[in-house]
Amino acid sequence: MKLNKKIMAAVMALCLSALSGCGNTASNAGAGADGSVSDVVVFGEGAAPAESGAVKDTVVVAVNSESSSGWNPITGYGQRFDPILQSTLTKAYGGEITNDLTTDYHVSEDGLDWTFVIRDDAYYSNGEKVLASDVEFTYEAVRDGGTSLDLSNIKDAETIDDTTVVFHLSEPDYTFLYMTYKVGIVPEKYYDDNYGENPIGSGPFKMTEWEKGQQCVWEYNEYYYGKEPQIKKIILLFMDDDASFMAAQRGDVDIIYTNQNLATQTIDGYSMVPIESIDNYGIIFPTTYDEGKTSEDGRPIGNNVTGDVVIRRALAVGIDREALIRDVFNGYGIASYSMCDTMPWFNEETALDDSNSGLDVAIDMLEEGGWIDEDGDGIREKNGVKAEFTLLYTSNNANRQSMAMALAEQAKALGISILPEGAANSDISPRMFSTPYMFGRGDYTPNEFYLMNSTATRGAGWSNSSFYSNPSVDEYMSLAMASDNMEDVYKYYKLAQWDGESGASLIGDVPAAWYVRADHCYFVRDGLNIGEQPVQPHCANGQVVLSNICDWKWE
Amino acid sequence: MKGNRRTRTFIIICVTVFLIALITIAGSVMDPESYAPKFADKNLGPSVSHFFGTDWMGRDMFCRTVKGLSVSIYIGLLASIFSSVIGLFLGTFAGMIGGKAMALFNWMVDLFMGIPHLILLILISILLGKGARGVAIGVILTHWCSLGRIVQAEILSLKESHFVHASYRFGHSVRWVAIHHIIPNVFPQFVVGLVLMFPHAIMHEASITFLGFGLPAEQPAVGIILSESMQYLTTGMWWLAVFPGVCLLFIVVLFEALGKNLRLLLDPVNAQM
Repeated sequence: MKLNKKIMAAVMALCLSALSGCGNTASNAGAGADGSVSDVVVFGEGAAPAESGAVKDTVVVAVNSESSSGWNPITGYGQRFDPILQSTLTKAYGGEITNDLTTDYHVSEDGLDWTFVIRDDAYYSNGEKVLASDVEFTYEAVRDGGTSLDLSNIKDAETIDDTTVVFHLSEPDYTFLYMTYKVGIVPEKYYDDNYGENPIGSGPFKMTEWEKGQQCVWEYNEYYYGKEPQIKKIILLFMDDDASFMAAQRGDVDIIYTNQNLATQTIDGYSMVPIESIDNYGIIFPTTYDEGKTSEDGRPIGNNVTGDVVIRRALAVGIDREALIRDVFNGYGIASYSMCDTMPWFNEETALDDSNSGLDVAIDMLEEGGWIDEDGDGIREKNGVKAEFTLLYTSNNANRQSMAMALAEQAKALGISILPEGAANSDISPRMFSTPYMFGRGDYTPNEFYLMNSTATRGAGWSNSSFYSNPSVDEYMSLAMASDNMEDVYKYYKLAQWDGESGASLIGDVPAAWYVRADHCYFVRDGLNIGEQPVQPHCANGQVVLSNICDWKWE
Repeated sequence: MKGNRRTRTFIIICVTVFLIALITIAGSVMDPESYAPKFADKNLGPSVSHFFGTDWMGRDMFCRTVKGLSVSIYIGLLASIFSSVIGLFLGTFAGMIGGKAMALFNWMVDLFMGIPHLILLILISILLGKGARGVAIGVILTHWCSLGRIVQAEILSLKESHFVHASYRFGHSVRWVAIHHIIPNVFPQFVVGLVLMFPHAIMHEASITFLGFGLPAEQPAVGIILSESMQYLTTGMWWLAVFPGVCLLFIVVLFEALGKNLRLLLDPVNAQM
């Protein structure tokens, strides 16, 4: 009978681990869900709208996780989405740069010196003034820190007076402006190693409580210089999708971030609000042939199937995007043709339509390119190479998995055999230069396009893992940086995508094939108005919805 | 039921072997198309055309479950055979030589049994790059201990029996005695131990796959099916977890029945204890 007990124990262990470990967010411990929910009930009662007509000013928001490194811009908070606790020099909602902390900026003739004049009336949540020297301190700290935001072009920053700071760049770069919305300013005087746990910032909210992995309480910062929000208190809960869905069913939360699968459900008293995004899903292809080369750290480079641009192009144009949106995203998505659709630097010529896409177009391409199925096994060959490759996907990401499977199904009709293989990101990384993989990316800055397609970033981690290199694309991108106005930046980035002959787009060299921009889905309690949301960038945890918190109101 | 206990036992063994063989063969010859994604049929409940319903990619859960069970049985078979051979070999070695060899053997058994199976399995599986190979080797390396110990204990008592002493007196070597007298005598325990190791191997394979350290996600394995189904329980898709879970339990019970009845036949003395 001992054996039976052991088996029982194994079954129990299975069940237990199911309860705690099914989400794909690392920080949400099993106990977190229950603990925080019971707290919420208390808060919820305190701020119930029923109380004699008083305007409700608290909102309970459930997202997947906090930023792993805390609330510190120098270690990464707010670099992927708008920080709420700090303010930034500029904002870039939808790709247009607007002032925030900055009141004015100008660049010198040679494009090397950027002068920013900041507001005179900006204060931190402790009442102290935001100084230009804090800007200098923050930017230099981010530059010297280890985040993915590359500010190495800043030679040094110089404080002229309390409200003026000058950045001296090593190389002229007009797109430097697109770095300035990613850095929340921290006070030099109050910055130490624990800043991420006790952030002091000049954003609309300040943090008053943080239980790691469970919840945060943010309250309105009375010193905030901008528009006073109607919401005065945010309770931010960290839950995986299932826990937040159940919390909404119980009525414990006001808004939850959820996935496209749960989005098809209905919850009484809540509406489903899908928000358009540039969170692109696609395949990153190795663009070189396998010539036996390896990277410095020994990772093999190149793939003999996707090294042929014909295969990449056929997969870019021959896939039915509407079917992907319907099958994988339950309708919550929009066809995507680049990683910058809707941004001002998107070259609309590269969008596909009936004339340059579809199954027939792709099959013609393959036949012309010499990929013919000679042995009748349904898979094309060329010079003895079978049109077959492994497609890696992050195995705990259901969307990427379903999409890899759906692409494999669709590619059969093209005579291309895709073999999806799930793996952890740490296992994808050693194979990323030689094996195509599913990826999600998209932000308000053309720098993303640069990172993915520049010869200089070949083999730099997740950036240009395709080893893509096209001299004319490089040329256009350097012209864009050397511009002295935004119109030219846009113009050259558009040419880098397609100049009539080549470019890093779906009708050009296809270093990556983008298919769908997935909507970010939120269940919002009836009566809560979350304002006009900008098109959202790629953000894994859902916090991006707070970027316009000052416009939220209860009705 | 007619017939004596021996006949009954024999019938039960035949039926369980038949069922297990049926599932294994059905899974092995199954056309991969039958559990390939068909998005047009996604999220369907159990029906006549899909006994176990379909998942969010429109994969037929019945075919996936059968395929997954057969994969589990293969891994279980491989793992139990190797593992029990290791157990037999080490147990015999330690039992026959005694002294330092015995101390070393006991120390190794304590070492392996001292670490929780699942953790050791996960470590070994990760070390070997996960996948079917990692799981199989992990299970092999962690499951030989209890059988080894049983074999060793049996040998210690066999060593004192008259026929063994007699054999030594005739001048036979330790190896000769081990092969001709000892191993044939521990064989029943060995076979029963092997079969009873099966459910362990299968459950452990499913567990570490469930936790994401085992087979890759596109493989139809019961652990994968169960862990994926967790994400869809909230939407009310109970059939994704219930049927495959029950089937896994069913297989485990089958092996358990097989092992116990085999023991009744092969090792009647111990089986009654």
